[in-house]
Amino acid sequence: MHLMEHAHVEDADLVREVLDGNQLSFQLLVERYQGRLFGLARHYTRSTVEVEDIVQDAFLKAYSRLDTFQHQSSFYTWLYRITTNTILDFMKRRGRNPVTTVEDPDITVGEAPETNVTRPDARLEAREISEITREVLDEMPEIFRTALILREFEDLSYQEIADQLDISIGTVESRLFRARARFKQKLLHKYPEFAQGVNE
Amino acid sequence: MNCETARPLIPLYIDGELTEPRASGLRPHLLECPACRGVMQGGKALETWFVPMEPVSVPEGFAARVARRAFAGDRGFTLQSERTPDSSGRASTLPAAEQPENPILQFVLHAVAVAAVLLITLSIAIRRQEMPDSEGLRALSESGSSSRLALDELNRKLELDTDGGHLGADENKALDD
Repeated sequence: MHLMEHAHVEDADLVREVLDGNQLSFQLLVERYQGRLFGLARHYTRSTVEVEDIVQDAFLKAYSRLDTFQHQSSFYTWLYRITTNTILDFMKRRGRNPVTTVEDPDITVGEAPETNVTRPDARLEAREISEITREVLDEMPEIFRTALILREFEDLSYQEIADQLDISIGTVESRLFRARARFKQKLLHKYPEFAQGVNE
Repeated sequence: MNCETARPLIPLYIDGELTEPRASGLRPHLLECPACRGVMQGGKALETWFVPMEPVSVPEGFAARVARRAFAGDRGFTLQSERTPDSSGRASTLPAAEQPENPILQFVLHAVAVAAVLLITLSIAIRRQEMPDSEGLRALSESGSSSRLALDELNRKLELDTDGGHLGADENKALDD
């Protein structure tokens, strides 16, 4: 069957075809989701080679485990979870902060810094804002960075984040709270000019 | 609603995670409380730092390449470093790629390990046999001191003999005469 004929085939059907040995069906699944997975992986590394390696690895893992896919969630949710784990595994091997750390000793719930950050200066271009944000995120512990990426860039709901990271919604809430407080703290430390009083 | 109840709800409100009944309970408080309103504005300002990034360009032919590799049996680089559960469900810390699968190789490795242990044990036993025990050391020490005494005695005697054996210069001269 030609690739174009697969264009409207459901993921579940493609998965079945792949399990029957159809390489083209797997290629189509890769084509469907490669852009989104590249988008996710590039939040973690500036190297395009590493981004490609991570996404390729995630797809290869997905293929090798395809027979365990239960169709209880969507294929994309399942694939996305494999990719998230692949990224976290990759970051761990690069010596990043462990992903199992739950408590952040610097910030406790209810003790967010008293200062807010301003909105980015209107003169800053989107690319410059992205660069500043990325610099700050790069310095954050992995669990907080991942929580922010999944919420702010990937626009996942709390439930989806919980499913991806295999944690409870309550943990997502507290992790996001701490992550934002940490982000604010680091942003203001690096760029104090963006500070703003709470009641201004 | 007071500030203490409202504060934890504000991030959820911004993220659209509050149910409508809870959100409608929070709104009046936000309208009347400048401090909580400030917290909410701060949260919204923080969100503006996360601007959507430009779409990523995927390398040409990526999907075909990955599909080819998958069907060629490539399982990805991290799979090899993951803990692989054994039949009992316990995870092995050895990477799968490092675990010897050849039974002959496994036998040779075991034999070498056993031989190494035997060699070490044997060498320790031999060394212990060669080393004297405490009594032996004392005997050696005593026999050593008696030998030294005997040697001193002998030297003294030899000196006496030498003195006696050598004739004085006058005696030699007398004899020559």
